[in-house]
Amino acid sequence: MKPVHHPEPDELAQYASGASPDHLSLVIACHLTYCAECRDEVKLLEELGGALLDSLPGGDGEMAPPEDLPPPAAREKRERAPLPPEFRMIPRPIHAFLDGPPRFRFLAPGVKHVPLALTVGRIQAKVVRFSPGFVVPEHSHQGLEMVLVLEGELTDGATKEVFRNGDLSRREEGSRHTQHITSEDPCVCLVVSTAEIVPSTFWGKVLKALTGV
Amino acid sequence: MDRTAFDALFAEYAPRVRAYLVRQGLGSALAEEVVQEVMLTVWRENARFDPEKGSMSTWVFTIARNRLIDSVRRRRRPEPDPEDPCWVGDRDVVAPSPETRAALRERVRELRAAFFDLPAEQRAVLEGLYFEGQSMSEHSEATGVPLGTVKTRARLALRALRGRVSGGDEE
Repeated sequence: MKPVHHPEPDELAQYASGASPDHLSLVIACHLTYCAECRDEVKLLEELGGALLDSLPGGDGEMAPPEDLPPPAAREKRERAPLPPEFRMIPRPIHAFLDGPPRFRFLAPGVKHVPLALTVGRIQAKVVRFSPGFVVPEHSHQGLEMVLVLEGELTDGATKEVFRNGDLSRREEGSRHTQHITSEDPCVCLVVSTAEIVPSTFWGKVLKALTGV
Repeated sequence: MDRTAFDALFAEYAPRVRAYLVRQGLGSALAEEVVQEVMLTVWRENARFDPEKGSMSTWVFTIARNRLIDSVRRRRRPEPDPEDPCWVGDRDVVAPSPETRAALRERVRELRAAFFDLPAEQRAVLEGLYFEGQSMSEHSEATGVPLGTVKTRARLALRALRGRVSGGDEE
């Protein structure tokens, strides 16, 4: 199934140009794993990079190529140890941020997570697994939260938009919402938040204290 | 690729890659070092370059961009992997097309011309992105232009560029 909720055009441009911070690059690289449309867009943006490189001044031959060249690389096939079946839904761009073999840890009733080695300052990244029927309580955001669905289905309580495989849900500062797990199976998401999330209900505050979701 | 072909590529691209790295803020000694790494990668990985899928300039740009990120952040840039079991859609990064090497070069040339036809303030946003590694919010901070305006400029610029290379059917 093709994703229908995409990153913003300027986020793809930041990714293609190399200007995006790691947490955004991770979200985009995961989305690209599922989205041929955005892969084409990034391809065009990389061609723009090529065009801009061409526009830079050439030299007058003062730079010398290395005298000795190593043998060209053989086309090696990269063998990777596959993740256990329970984690098959985690796409490869995330693997580099796993600290050892992944394990879902209990966070709260109905919520488990795998923290990722990408927590820098106020940025947190994790893979979260929600049980079917779970409702993420209403909370308002300071900063940006990005949720990329890896498996299952999530429905926004306010807009009723449905998010599936590869879909990106983004919440800007000040937005309030609940999110409902509407798949029959658990819903697994990459969650990146760039600032503290402020829950607006008592249960939300309890959950927040427990989980940081 | 043989030695002569590589020397020609080196003469064409090494100074441009160095200019790119220096604009990105690398000191000249480090830039010099990274240029050599980039060009050696071009040599070593040449078998992976497919002229049916992209121009040489684009390929060199992506190598320079990735080496820059590796050397500055000491971490590999997250990238999608076509061999990922989670992959959806065609495994080629671009859909196969009858475009020839010449047509791709033409497309990059057209993009470059289109870039120079953009209004100066839109060009500045893209130059900030590609040459200074400036995110939209960093560009906004550096220039004092509101973030919303910067994003709008980026969007307009990208739409115009896409319109030019896809024969105007986007407009």
